[in-house]
Amino acid sequence: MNTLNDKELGGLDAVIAARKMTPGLSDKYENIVIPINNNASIAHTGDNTGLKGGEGLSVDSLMKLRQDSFEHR
Amino acid sequence: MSLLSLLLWPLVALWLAITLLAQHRRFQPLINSLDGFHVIPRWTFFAPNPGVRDYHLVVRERRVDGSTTEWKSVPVYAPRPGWAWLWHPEKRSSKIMNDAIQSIKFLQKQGEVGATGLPFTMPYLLLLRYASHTVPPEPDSTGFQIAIIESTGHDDRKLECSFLSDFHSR
Repeated sequence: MNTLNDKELGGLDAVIAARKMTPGLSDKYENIVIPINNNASIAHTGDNTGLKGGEGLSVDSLMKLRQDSFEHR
Repeated sequence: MSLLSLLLWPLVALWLAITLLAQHRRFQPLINSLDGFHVIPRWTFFAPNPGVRDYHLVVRERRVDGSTTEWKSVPVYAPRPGWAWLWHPEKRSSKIMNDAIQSIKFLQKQGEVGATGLPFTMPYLLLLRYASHTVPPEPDSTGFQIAIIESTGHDDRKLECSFLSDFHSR
């Protein structure tokens, strides 16, 4: 993972718009993930704890809702 | 040069030549059919599905008037020090970020969490928090959004977007 140059960053809106028209375009290029044990970045089914939405909320609010959901399980 | 060397040099040279040819799809079927002992390696030996893409995390802000800023790169890799071959613990940070990106792609593909459930998953929160702390907000920002961009190639890179988040406040 490295950084994009200014020209590439300037053209990202078109790249993102193209992606919206062809969802899942990059799935065929998936790489192997070699997880570190107990790595927080690894996803599991139901990792959202059943919560939906979240648009506009802050990171702290999202984390609080997630934590509350876990505690009330 | 000994007799043994005279025999071995052509053998090793032939082995090298066949190994090079075996990297090309055109010759693989023929070479595989003749390589009963599997002595011809391929460049994917240690990674059967090697990474051929770079991942980039980008962020942009939404202003009070509803307009958005230009996308900015979120630096994930710290400069590699000269002694990285011996001691480079910072690599774990970038590894975690890379895994988070892969995990989001996995969740999207799996479909059980759904797009509306993603903001509560750990990889999403991890990337969001990292981006919000790494790139300082604009003065009139009301929220920010992240995207995962994949690139292929070297000189003229081809870009694809594999994930676009919602807007979130800081």
